[in-house]
Amino acid sequence: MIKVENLKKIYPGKVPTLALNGVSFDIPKGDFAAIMGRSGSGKSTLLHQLGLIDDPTGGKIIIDGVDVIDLPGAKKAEYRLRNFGYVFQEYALIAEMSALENVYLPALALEGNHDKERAEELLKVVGLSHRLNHYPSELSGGEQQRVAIARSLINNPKILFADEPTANLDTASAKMVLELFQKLNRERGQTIVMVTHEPDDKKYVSRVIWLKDGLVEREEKNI
Amino acid sequence: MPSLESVKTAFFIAYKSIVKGNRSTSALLIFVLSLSFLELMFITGILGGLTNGIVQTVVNTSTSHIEIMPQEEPTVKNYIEHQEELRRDIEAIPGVIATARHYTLGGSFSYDKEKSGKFKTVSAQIYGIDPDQEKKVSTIADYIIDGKYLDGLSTDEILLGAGLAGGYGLPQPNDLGGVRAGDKVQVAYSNGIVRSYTVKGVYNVVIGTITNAAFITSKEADSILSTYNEASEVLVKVDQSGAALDKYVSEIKKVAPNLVVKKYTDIISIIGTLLDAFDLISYIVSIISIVVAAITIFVLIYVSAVNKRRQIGILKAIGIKENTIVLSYVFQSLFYAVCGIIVGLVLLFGILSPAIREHPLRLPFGNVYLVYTGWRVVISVISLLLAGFFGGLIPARIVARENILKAIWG
Repeated sequence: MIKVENLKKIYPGKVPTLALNGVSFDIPKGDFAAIMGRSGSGKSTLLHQLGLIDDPTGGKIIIDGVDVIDLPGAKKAEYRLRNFGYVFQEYALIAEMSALENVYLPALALEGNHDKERAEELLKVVGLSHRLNHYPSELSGGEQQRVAIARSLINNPKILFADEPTANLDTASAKMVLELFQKLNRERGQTIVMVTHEPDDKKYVSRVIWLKDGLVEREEKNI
Repeated sequence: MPSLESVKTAFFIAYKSIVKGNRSTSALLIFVLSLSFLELMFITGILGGLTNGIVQTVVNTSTSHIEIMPQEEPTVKNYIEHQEELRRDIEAIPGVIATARHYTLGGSFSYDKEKSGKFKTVSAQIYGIDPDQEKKVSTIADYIIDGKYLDGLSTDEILLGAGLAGGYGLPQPNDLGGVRAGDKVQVAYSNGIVRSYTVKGVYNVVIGTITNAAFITSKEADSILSTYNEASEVLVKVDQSGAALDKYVSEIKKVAPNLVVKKYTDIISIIGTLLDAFDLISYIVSIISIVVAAITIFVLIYVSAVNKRRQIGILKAIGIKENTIVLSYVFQSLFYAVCGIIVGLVLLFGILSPAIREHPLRLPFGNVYLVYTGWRVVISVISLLLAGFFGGLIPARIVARENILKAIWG
């Protein structure tokens, strides 16, 4: 499903930083892949390139046979909206919108409908059916992250990207989020690509891609 | 062209931003915009009032709505003949309120203020009028500052403009040095006839050249010019002005095909320069007001967008198009502009305009009120909406263009 070939990212500056130095790997459909590595290994950079929120310096990202790097700007936005879901480290909800509104916003952008029913259903899936009309400031960190997960699923994305989604959560909330990802992957066949630095998170995923100095060091499969 | 989904999403984001945003900031922005609109409308209105006041004064004291002059083609004639019959026919046209004839004569005035045998002499234009009829088309009688208005048949009395009489504080380089009602003046007409008159009254009209002229009765003018039932010009007062005047002009031309018929707007070209200057001032002030409004919106929307950089980054990351985000800010700024316009219109037509109607600006030529034309209000509204559009569009585009990662994490 995702085929990465010789992906490179150099951050320009007085001293250019080589963040990705020719990364190549495949992630099949329905996988729950974790990208792991030490701080500075390039794992977040890799996720940003895969999720089309940053432009790589070279290489290819082929998703379902389409080289998505070549898509023009506006098409990339539409591709993201239609095919990707995002969960960020820092909840990343719109403060002026309720949990329900945050969840159906991408559906509104895609289809022009305030799809409240589906948003309610997804909030129920993440265990927040009692928090529909609460605003982000009225929710705990774990609850906000679960709202973000529900939002990421509203347009039935092909791939859900998560950038250290448990980094700011307490242990219980982190466990709940990871179990939720695992459930989505197992029960719905949702392809998930998650960046994490927690070695314990390995037990929830089906594949681990280890990065070191901007290169794939090794891959592990959890059967 | 944004898609329907894009418009709906932008509207939703804008709506939530306004409803859940900082109300004090919104109120301040609306207040500032309403003041900008009020300034725009007030200056326009007061200059409109001044223009209107000046034009009305000239119409009421000099030209009336329509002026009829003697035949020029095929041969030039000095006078309009059978003026009484002509005026009767014109007064039969529906909408014509009144007519009055004028003789225009040139003369040299002499006045010996000190009774010392030293006469001061000034040339001026003299109008021969039928005083009672004149009152129906002219308000000169309302401007008497000394003495009285002319009587119907008197032949030894004259009415002087304050600019000609002198001594009334008007900055005239050439006047008679201070003639008062009851004084005697001598007039040498251009045809050689010399007459002595008692000054019946002095009038003061600030606008136009009429303040440097004098009035005698048409009976006296007839005796000087050896005319009968003729006129140098006929003034016509109608119950409408502006575009409808063309209709009256064409009706009058049917009655008097050989005469020259002019609207007051064609005659007051000298004042036109002054009015053009007012228009220019009005346009300059309008442009400044609009620019100030646009900059105000720009600054506040820019600050708002910069403060929401992370939110903009998140919106872009989840797939909301850049144009949708920009459109949401345009909706917000247009909302503030519309609110500013509504508040401004309420303040203007609910408070300011009635207040100035009650307490007009009192100027020498009369009271000045706020005067608006429909199109001017529409232009002002459109101008502020455009200011809102661009004031929202430009800063939103600047901020929304930023790289997603930079926007989210700085």
